[in-house]
Amino acid sequence: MDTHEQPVLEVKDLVVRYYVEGSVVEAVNGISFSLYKGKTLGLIGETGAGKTTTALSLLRLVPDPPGVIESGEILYKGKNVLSLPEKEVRQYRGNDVAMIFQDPMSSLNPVMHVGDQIRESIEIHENVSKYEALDRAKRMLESVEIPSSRYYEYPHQFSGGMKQRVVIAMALACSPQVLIADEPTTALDVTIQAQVLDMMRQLIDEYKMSMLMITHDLGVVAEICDFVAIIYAGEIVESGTIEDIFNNTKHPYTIGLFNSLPDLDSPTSRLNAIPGLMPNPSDLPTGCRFHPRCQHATTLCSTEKPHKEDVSATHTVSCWNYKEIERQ
Amino acid sequence: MYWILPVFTLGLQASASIMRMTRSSMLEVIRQDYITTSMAKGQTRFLTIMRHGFRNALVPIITTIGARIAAFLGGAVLVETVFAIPGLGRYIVDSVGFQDHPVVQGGVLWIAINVAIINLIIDLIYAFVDPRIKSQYSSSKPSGGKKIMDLKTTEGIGVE
Amino acid sequence: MKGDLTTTKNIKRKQGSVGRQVVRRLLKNKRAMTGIIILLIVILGSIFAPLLTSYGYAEQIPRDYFQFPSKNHLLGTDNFGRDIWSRVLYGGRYTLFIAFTVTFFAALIGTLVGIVAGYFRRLDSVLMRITDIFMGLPQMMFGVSVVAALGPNMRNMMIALTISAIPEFARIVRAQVLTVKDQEFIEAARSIGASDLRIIRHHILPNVSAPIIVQFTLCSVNTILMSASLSFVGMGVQPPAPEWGLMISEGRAYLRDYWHIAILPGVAIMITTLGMNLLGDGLRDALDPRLKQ
Repeated sequence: MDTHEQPVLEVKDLVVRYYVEGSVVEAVNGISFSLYKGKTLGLIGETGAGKTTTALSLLRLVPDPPGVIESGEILYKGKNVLSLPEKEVRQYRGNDVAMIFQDPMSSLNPVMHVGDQIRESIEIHENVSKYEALDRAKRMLESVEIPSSRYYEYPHQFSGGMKQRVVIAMALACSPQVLIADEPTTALDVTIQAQVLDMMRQLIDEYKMSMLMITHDLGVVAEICDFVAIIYAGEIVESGTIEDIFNNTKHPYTIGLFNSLPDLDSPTSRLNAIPGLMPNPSDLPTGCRFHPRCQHATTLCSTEKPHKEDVSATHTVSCWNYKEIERQ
Repeated sequence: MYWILPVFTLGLQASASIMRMTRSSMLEVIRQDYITTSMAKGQTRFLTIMRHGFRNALVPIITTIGARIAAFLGGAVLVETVFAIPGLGRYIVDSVGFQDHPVVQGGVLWIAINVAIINLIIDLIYAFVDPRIKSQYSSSKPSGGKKIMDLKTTEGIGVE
Repeated sequence: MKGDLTTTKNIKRKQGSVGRQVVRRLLKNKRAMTGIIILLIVILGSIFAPLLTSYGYAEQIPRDYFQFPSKNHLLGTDNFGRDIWSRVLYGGRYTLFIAFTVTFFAALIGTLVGIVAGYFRRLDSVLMRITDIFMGLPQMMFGVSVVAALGPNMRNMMIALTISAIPEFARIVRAQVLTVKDQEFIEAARSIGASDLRIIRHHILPNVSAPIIVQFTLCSVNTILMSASLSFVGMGVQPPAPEWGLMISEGRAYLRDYWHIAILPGVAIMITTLGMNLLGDGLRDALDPRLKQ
């Protein structure tokens, strides 16, 4: 990672567990990453890898029974979010770090005007009059290319893409420094996806925000991210700049992800899926979490968890055998 | 003054069903994404529940309140009998004993009409509370005319 | 080395069928267990009534009347000298019989109506309009009217209560059927040629059973209260039957001096409904699919 400047948001060894009906779900197991000003980090992983839990922890929104943030630090501009008192956490949410969720259909309150939902953000954090807040909310709508005349309409009167744009407007209303986007385009059509991503990139550049883009779509990552981290079973297995990851892939899982993308040029009759399934987070394998599905696994892999190694100044990998592996 | 005890009796009983429905409706609403969104904006838990949670939970609660009111019309017989209140319920029941059929017929008819009116008022209240329902009734709005949700979803059962 | 596919086996946890899971959750739920215990006491008490008391429920012992609870008469006697403990025990039989029979038939017919209305769209409107009509009538008034027409006895009261309980079942089942019907596995079943009857039996019924079970307990509670109310005003079970509501009504005149005659059956009603409600709550929690991890 770029160590020339201080990260805006830094996560250190985050561990989050869910305690459910007798079993312990190890959702996040020692994750560390950093977000830098004006740069976007893509967090790639399959469903169940712990991405959403990580995102929720950044805002301390992990549902408290049954989830517990066991250990680790989340440093926003040096201050540990996890040890802040409740009142300050509320100030931090939405104002410093904002989040948008996957499904715009359910992220918006169905019985409230869309404009008012944006206005609420403003009213919570800033000491302005009702009319000024109203005004600013209308301008936010315009900035996501929704006519401000639609302020008083309800969510069900908008299409999916427009709803997501409202959600973005809501998140950016107080000019946060960090935007966490949890699969913001997954629920949308491909053409709308492009529009929404473009708009997000524009706004981020304008506001000089850092973004954490959580997704399982490598295409989205290629479009919009500067740095990439791959998460598997609650751990980061590889991270680096986008060139590092796309051109110099080192971890077997990441290689598997890239290989599973169908290639229009090469003639294949079968898709290359990674064999097996993501392990059950309440019953994780010993040693390297990926070893049961890895074709390069050795006995060491099944007993010892690999350390994080530096492939380059920006690129890290957690694998015993990465030196021997080449991506085809 | 003497209304207190009968009112309290009926009210207490009704409040139990309403309480239960409120609880289950709120539980259902709390787990929705827009609640998390509101918290993520930095809203206090109290206001999130009140502003976002409660209003969305209201529809089934109003249904229950309406049902209770309708039930009172005839079902207050017991209270009327015990507290010697000359109410409609007691009149009808006594007339059954006296074989006074016209009274029974008329009384039940009158109750039925009242129930229908109450249901109508409740339906109108729905439109006020939930804009999606309002849209169903007006066909001039973009999504009007289409059925968007089931009015009396008894999510309270806890199964979908 | 080849990837190890035993990870898949790790994921298919041995949890047993859904039914077993529900029963397990139910047994762990304190509220439900309390409810079940209370109900068991009531049920066993009324079944084994002859063993638990030596008096008949209509047996009048004139010299013993108006006695307060004593070692001879566990709950005292009423104005006719009848032993209240026996009356409460035997009364339990009436209460439980009425509650379960009415609810059972209401559930049966209501489920049928609900499935037909939900599955076969053509009949939906008709059936729902009829259901709406019956739902509009307050249960008490409906019961009174039916009994007025047919004569005041237990059978007519049960008919009235059954009819007025059907709409609620129908509505709930229909709503559930509509939800399930649109799911893809139904389409899948139909695409491999399953007949409607088969789909209903194997796919729809299991998935609608949860709300039915919950409604079953709710309806039982309501029926108990309704039958007590109707008997109270003389529109149901007739004397000298020891139905609890009737006992309260009979004891009303003596409330000031001999309150035990009216109050004790009331307590019995309260305990029974409490047990059923607790069980119902517990069932609702246990059947809630959201809690599945």
